[in-house]
Amino acid sequence: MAPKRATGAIAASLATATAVVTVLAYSVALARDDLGLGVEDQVPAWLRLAELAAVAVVVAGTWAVRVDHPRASTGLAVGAVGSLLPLWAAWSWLPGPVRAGVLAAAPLTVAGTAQVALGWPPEASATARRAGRAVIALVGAASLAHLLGYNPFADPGCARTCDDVRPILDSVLSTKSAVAITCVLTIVAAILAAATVLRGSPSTVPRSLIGAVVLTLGLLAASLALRWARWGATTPSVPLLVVEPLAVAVVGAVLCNVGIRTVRTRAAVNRLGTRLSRPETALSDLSGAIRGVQFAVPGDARWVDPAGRDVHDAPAPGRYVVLSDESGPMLRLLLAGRADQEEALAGLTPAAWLALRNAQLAAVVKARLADVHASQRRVVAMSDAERRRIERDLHDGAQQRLVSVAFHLRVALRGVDPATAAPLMSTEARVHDALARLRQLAHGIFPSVLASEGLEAALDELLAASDIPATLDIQVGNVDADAAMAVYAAVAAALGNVEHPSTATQARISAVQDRDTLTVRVEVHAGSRTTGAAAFSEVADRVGALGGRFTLSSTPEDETVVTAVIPCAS
Amino acid sequence: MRVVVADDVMLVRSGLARLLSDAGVDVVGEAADADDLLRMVALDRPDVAIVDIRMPPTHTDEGLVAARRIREHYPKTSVVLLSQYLEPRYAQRLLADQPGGLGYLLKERVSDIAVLVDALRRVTEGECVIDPTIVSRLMQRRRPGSPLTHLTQRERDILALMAEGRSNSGIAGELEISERTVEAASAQLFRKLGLEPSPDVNRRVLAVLTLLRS
Repeated sequence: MAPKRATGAIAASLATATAVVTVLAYSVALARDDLGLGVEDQVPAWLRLAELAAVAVVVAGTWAVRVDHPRASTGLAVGAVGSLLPLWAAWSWLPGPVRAGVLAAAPLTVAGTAQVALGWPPEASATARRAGRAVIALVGAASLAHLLGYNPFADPGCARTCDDVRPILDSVLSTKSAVAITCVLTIVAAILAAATVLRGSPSTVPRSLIGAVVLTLGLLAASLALRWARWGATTPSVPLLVVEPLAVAVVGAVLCNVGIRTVRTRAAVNRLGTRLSRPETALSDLSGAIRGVQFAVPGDARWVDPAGRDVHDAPAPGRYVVLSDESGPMLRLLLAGRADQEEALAGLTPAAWLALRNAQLAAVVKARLADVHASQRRVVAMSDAERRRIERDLHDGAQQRLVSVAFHLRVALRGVDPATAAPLMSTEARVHDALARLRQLAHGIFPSVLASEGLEAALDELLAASDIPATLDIQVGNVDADAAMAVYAAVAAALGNVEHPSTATQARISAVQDRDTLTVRVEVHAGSRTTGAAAFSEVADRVGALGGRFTLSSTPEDETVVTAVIPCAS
Repeated sequence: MRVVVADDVMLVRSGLARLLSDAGVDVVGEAADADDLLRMVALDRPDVAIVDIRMPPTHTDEGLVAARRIREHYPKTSVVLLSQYLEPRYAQRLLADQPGGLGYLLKERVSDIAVLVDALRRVTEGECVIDPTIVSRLMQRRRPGSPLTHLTQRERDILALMAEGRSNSGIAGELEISERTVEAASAQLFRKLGLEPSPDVNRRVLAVLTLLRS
C-alpha cells in the first residue's frame, strides 16, 4: 500500500505544480499582453474564471483521493496535465518547438480520465486491464503522431501558435494527416475507454464516477471530432479552447465528493469507536454515516447488539458492512442510507478497529452470560417441575393410600377382642405417624401453596410452620413464579438455618418490590449457633439464575442477614 | 343424619362410608367428583356433604368450589371439607365469607370417627369446625397490627378451642378451669376483638373468622 500512496501524492503534486505554473504564467502573459495571436482575448472573462475554478477542482480532486485511491488520483493528474499543457502553446516567449510539442499532450487527457474509473479498487478484471493498456497505446500513438507530424503554421485553425516548426516527419506526413490520425486514434481510445468503463466496472465504483468519466470521455471525443470537422476554418472556436479543463473538472468534482464522503465516514467510524468505550446509552443517538453496530458471536450463527441482546432482524442488504478478522466475521456496521460500504471500511483507523474489537468482546461476554443465566434458569425450572411432580405423587398416591389404610384399620378394629385390638391400634398409630412425616416431606419438596395461592400466602404458611417468632413485612405485587420461588427459598433457608430454635431466636423478614427489583431481606437473631453457609448455595443459585444478587452476612451478635435482590418485570 | 361423601379415591371413599355407617350415620351417596356431588346434593338434600378438596379434573380446588356452591344454593346442607394438606389458606378462603355450617378437617384425623361425627353434628348446628393442627398454625402467626396480638395466653387457648368447635364445657374440661371462667374470658375475648353482644354461636363464629383473617 505504501508505494501506491506515494504514487498518489507524487501525482497530486505534479498536477498541482502544472496547474500553478500554467495559471501563473498565463496570468503574467495576459498582463504583459504577451500571448501569441491575441485570440485568447476573445475568451470571455466568465469562461476564464470558470476555467480557473475547473483547474482548482481538478487539483483538489487529485489530493482528495490520493491516499485511498492512488491510481484514480494519478489518472486525474495525468488528465490535468494533458488538459493544461496545450495552453502553454500561447506563450510567445517559449521556443517554437516546445509550443508545438505541448499541443501533443491533449490526448493524454483521455487516457488519464479512463484510468480514474479503470483503476478504482479492487483490481479491475483482466478485460478492463487489457482495455486500459489498449487505451494507453492508442493515446500514445496519437500523441506521437501529433508530435512528429504537426506544424502549427500549416494548421489554418491554430489559435495559439503560428511558428513555422518543421516536425521530424514533415516530409512524409502532412500536418492535416497528423491531426486526422491523432483525432481518430484519440476518439477510438475514448470510445473504447467509455465502453469498458460502462460495461466492465465492478459494483464498488461509485455510479456518479462512472457517469462523470463517460461524460468527460464523450466531451473530449466530441471536441476532437469538432476540431477535425472545422479543419480549414480560420476563426478559432472559443468552446474548443476551454472544453478540456472543464471536462476533466467534472471528474475532479466527483472525486472531491468521494473524498469528502470518505472523511465524513471516517469521522463517523471514529465517533463510533469513542462512543463504544462509554456507557451503552451513548450509542442510541448515533448520527452520520454509521447508524449502529452489531457483533458476531464466535462459533454461533447469530448477532448481538452492544448490550449482548440477540438481534433477530437482519439489516437490509447493502445497508451494512461486515468486518472480519482471521477467525471469521467480527461485527457489522449499519450504514445510513447514502453511506458507501467501501468508504466505511476505508474509514477504519487502527484505533477505531481496536475499540470495535473491544466492544465485540464485551458484547459477546454479555451475550454468553445471558446464555448461562438462561440455562441456569431452565435447570432450576426443570428441577422445580420435577419436585412438584414428586410432591403431587406423594399426596395423591402414597398419602391417599395410607389414609385409606387408616380407615380400613379403624373398620377392622370394630368389634374385635382387646387382645387382637392392641397390635392393630399400634399399627394405626404408626400409620398416623407415617402420614405426618409424609406430609412434612412433601411440603419440604415443593411448597404447592406458592403456586396455588401466591408468595404472601406461602410465606405466611412458612412462618406459621416455623418455630421461630418472626415478623413479616411484604409489599409485593405480581411476580413471576421463578422470582417468587427464589424469595421463598431464601426465607426458608434463613429460617431453616437455625439449629436449635429457642425463645432467644427472632426473625424479621421484609420483601419489597420496587418497580423492577424485588428485594428480600431476612434478619435472624439466633440464640443458638447456625448451621452455616452451605444451606444457602441453592438459594444463591436460584437468585443468580434470575440475574440477581445474593448476600449472606453474620454479625458478632449471632445475627444472620440474608439479602436477595432479584430483577423482575412487574 | 343423612350425609353424602365425595372423594375421587375409591378406597378412601368406601372406607369413610363404611366407618360412618358403623357409627350410625346414614350415608345416602358416594360421589367421585364435584359434578357427581352436586347432582346428589340436589337430589337427596343431605344434612351434610363431606368433600375432599382436591378432586378431578385438575386436583386443585374443585372441592372448595363445589362446597361454595352447595352453601349458596342449598343452605340447609352443611359441608365438611377434607384435606390432606396443611393449608390454612383453603379454610380461610372458604370460611372467610360465611363460616357457619362449615368444617375443615385433615383427612387423616377422620379415621377417629368420633371426631368426624362430632364435627358433623356441630356444623349442622351452624357452627364452624377447624382442624386443631390448622388452628395451632393460625395461632402461631404474628402479623403486626393483628387484634390477636392483644390477647392473653388464656384467651388465645380459648379462641383456639372455639375454632376447633368445642363447647364451653368442652373448653373448660380441656383447660381444666371452670365453665364460668371460660364464659368470663370469652366475653373479654369478644370485647378485645371488637365483637358486639349477639347470639353466642354467631359471636363464636365471628371470633374464629377474626382468627382466620389475621
